[in-house]
Amino acid sequence: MLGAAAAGGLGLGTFLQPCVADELAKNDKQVLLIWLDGGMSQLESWDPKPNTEFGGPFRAIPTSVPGIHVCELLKHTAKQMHHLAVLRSVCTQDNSHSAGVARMNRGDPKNRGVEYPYLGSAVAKLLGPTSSGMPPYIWIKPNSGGFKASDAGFLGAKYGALALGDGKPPDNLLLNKSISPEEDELRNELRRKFNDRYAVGRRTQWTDANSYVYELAQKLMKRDDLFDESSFTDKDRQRYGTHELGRHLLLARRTLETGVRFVKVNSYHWDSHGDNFNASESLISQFDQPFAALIEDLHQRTMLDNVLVIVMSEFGRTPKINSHVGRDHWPEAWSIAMAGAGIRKGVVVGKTNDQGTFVEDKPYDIGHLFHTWFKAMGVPPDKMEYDNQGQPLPVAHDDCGPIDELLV
Amino acid sequence: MFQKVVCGLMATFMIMSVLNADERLLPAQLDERVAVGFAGQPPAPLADDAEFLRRIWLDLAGCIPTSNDARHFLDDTDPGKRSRMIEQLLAAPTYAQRMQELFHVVLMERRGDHEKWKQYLYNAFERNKPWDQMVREVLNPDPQDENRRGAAFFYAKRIEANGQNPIDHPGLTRDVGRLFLGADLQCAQCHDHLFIDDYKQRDFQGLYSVYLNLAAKSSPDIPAVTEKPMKKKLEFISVFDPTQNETGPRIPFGLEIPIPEQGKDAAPVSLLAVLASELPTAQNALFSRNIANRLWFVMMGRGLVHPLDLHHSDNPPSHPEVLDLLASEFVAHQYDIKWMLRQLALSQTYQRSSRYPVASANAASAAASVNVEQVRPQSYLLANEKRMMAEQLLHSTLRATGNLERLQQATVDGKPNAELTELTKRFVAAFANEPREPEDQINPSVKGALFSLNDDLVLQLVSRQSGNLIDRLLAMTSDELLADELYLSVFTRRPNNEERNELAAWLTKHNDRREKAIANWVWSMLTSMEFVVNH
Amino acid sequence: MDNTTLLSEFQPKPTKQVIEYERQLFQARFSPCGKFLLASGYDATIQRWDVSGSESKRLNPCLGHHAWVPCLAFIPTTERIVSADSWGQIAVWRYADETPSPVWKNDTAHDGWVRAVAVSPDGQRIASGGNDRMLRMWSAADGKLLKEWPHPEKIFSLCFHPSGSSLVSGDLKGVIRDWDIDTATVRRELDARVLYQLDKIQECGGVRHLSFNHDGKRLACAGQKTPGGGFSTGFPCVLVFDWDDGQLLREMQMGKNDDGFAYDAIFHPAGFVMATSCAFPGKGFVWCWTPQNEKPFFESTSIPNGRSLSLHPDGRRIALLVSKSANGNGRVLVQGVYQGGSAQIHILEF
Repeated sequence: MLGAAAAGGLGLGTFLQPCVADELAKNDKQVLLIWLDGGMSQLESWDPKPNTEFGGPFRAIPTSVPGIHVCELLKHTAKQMHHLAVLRSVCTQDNSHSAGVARMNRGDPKNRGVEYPYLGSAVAKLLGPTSSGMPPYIWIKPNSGGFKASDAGFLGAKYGALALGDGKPPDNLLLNKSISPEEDELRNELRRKFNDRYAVGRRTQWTDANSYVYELAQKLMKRDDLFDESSFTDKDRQRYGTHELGRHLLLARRTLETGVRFVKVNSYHWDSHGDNFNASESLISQFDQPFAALIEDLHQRTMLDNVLVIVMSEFGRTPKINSHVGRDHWPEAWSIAMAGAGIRKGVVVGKTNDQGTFVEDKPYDIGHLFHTWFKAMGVPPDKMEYDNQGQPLPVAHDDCGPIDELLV
Repeated sequence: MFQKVVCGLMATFMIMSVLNADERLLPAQLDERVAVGFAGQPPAPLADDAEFLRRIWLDLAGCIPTSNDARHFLDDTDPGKRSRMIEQLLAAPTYAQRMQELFHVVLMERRGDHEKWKQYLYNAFERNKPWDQMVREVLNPDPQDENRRGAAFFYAKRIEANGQNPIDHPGLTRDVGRLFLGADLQCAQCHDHLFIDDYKQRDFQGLYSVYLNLAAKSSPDIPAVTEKPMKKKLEFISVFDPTQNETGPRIPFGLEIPIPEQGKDAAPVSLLAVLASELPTAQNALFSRNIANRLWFVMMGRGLVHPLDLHHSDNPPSHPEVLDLLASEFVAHQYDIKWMLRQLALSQTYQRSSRYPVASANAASAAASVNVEQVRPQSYLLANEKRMMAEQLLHSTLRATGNLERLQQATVDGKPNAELTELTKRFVAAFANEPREPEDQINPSVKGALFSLNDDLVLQLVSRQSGNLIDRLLAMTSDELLADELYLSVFTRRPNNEERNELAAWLTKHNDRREKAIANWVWSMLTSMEFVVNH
Repeated sequence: MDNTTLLSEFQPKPTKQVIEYERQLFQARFSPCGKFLLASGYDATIQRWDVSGSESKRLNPCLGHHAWVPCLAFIPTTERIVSADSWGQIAVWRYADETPSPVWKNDTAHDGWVRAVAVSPDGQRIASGGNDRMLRMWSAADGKLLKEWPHPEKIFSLCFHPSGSSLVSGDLKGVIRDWDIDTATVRRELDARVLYQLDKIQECGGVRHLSFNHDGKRLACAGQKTPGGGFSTGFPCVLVFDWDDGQLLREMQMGKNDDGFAYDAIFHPAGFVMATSCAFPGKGFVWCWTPQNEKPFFESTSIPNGRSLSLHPDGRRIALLVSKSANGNGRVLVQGVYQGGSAQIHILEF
């Protein structure tokens, strides 16, 4: 349906012109958050401990950065290591999914009786849409799509995520055929006029939110080519893989290219309590291949200087291998990888002990990482605070600061 | 039957048992207590008749009035017309319909619906069943009683099998705490609540121990649950402290209830029955405070305690005396919801305008000098704008566009009109929250905007069909009449001069395609804030 | 035989003999002479015990592997054993020596994880396979590569038919292949696909173990029915095939759908299958089942998390290897030390 419509004159593929990417490269910072839900094992990925008690069966392999090794399951990513920074001394608070997911996404600010926004909503609020005017927060996820307001917390629904279920476009994306584009402009002009009149003498919060979502909707309607999977080359499909995460990361590349400020890609079912090593082989390879391709592509398009890429979960996995040959939840010592805007290239920061059980030097919590990422995105220090109807709220944990070793 | 301990949380709220000695009418007492919080700021003036009318219809009938109803009310010069309108709406069949839709969303949070549950709620509100009785029936559904068994849906839907997932007994436990006591015990499942001292793990586990014995046993037609007798206490440990604890059944914040001895021949003792008799009682302060706060929220757009399910000593009400008074009066009036809504509707707090007058040279007033952006919702200085539920928005859209009667006519076989069913589905998909998320604030979304912009059925409503708004407007002989009918139909008010002129200019400009021009104007009104928000 | 008769004769009973080992182990097998018990570990070692007396005696281990040693197999007619590790090394050891050393080893026998080794009935050849999807045949005497051919999937298990005419492989996807060794071609496939599932995005399961009965008429394969991700949710399951016609004789499923893998299944000369599995949480089964009957004649949950079973040549003793490593999220320290898992080998007797 979309392919036909797009081919019918709505500018198929125009956003892929290099000049657009160049334009973006000069402009705004963007973020790609890859969320591996359930918890990827750090020992089978970023922080291997080969042939130690908890090391598991896999080998460590050299990377494109001399001296840095990763697990053999990251064989493609290893070749892109010179673009990446890995923090191996992550030490967080929660060993349950419910608490961990919320806290990692919200950056663990101190409890002030409000629900903090997830990182995507926070960035949507702090930096707004890019000059492209595209919705600032798009979430590519398996299964159903829709609009996920709950990510926004106290910021309010308009900062929520527009979720593309399995990469599919949202419902009602195409201009109804009974309305001409000119008419569409006219009717929306009227709507805006009515809203302006309504807003007089009232708090503007909800009217603003309403206008904002209409603007985003209209912007999105003009970019339906975003969802045309048929316009990807066979080579791209091959490089990223045709599995779910491969397809979604390829779509994420395009979404970034169209100028979306914050793109989140979720992959689920990483919670390998049983048979962790076969699970890791199956799962991590599905991450490794498209992730490496994406980093390579962002670099080649000179976008990596502006796009901050983050790979994380709610926690790592226990060093201990349980009787089901699985690994359980482990927030004590695990790894988060990142690349791009403002982040140093080809470094490992932090260290776990020889057994991989605990952080050996300074442990870092998600609060430090939020400070690091906001700084990498260039959020000015005077913007590091929200105004919640008069209540000032710091955007990240007061007691933490950025991790300088990760920053350029 | 079981003596309660007045523990910390209860003690905080004991003040409510003091009798209300003030003999003035309740609305006046509420207004006075709200005004204490104004702190010298001038409140917004009372809403004009049109603003009041639209609001009260939406709140008590779930829909805006017709243009004729609006015209009658606006032209009525009787000073008592507002209270008459309140009475009229409370007595109309639309009241039960509205309450059924409202309480369905409050209690089920978009988990799905069931014909028997609908019927149960509708009948309860039609008969103005007291809230404590309704809660007893929900907490202990009677499968034998045809009029009451739909109440089992509250339990049955929450604990139905969901693929490989474990039966969500913890979720049910949490919801009973949230919805009937205003206490979200979720974080007290695995340990005493970290931030809320009042919420203890035993409070969660005690209620949970009852629900662990509950299983869904619905047939396609009838929701139902079965209860196994409890044999022993529930063991639990805190994730922070490996000491083994145990608890028997417990109403949260109350005493542990002994596990009933199950006689060999006698019918088993039902813990649901014990729960139903012990939880919704006058002695249980949280029970009445929760519902008083929730009804206040329905009318005023902001809970006295907010969020609605966080009643605890570190989150006190914005107006403690108002909540005390409301809760005790609600108990004194036998949990009569209709009575309560009437009292709230009659208050000035409810009838205030949602906007401040604009300062102008000849109309300088104290109110005009207020910086409206600084006004916080819990001040009630002006009426809070409220979210329209998907159902309210649908009914109102249909009424505004003159399509409601056509679609409400049942088809021959008694089933609802297929177009209406489809529209309901689409409106809920576009404007309701995700399942399990309370709908407690206005929630504009890109999804909703795309729906309003492009959905076929929405656009059909603003195309000419025999007898609908567009049809009527096209038959109007003058632009003056057209403007009146249009604004009364959609905005429940007459247009001002500026609007009349704008419309006239629009119609002149698009004279060659008048039908389309009118349709677009109507669409723009329907998608504007004045229509999509209950203000 | 009916189940009552079988139970009266072959009820495995615990003895007082429990061998403790401080790390987790994959397989514990009695040597063909019955004097030794050898076990391969997560710690790159092969542990040895002298079990000829009333008390077992721990002997020097075989050292020289790099990582996990998931598989080992005795070489008939010699006092040698072959083992393989997850970094691709295969080694043959003189296991009866006081301090065993490799007769030969090849640390690039495979690329990565070797999951199965098997020895031909005449003791001349060793077959190996694993993640690199290569089947390789080695000279047992000197480690010379005799033959190699690609395998369509990851190899999870291998065994030779007692006649020596077939090599049988089990893969991730639940396909069992009967290989003509001379031509390196597949004669036929047996369907054990119930042991595999693509669950959401994860490939789960696999044929984890294969073994023939003594006359080669029955093939047992162990794994998990309808396996899933996360907690490894599936029924412990052993399939028994009639080797002649390739038909499934019995699906021997235990427990619940979240219990986990049957890791091992072996035939007793009397014709029944003994199998062991883990189960969730901290449970597990040992069960004995003759394919002729619908139900097992024996099942026990008293010793959790079984990993392997080995029948002593005396036909009476069984070594049941179990894993002792509790599930649990987060930090559990004992006197300030983070705890790993360990193993126990329970000696059972009929």
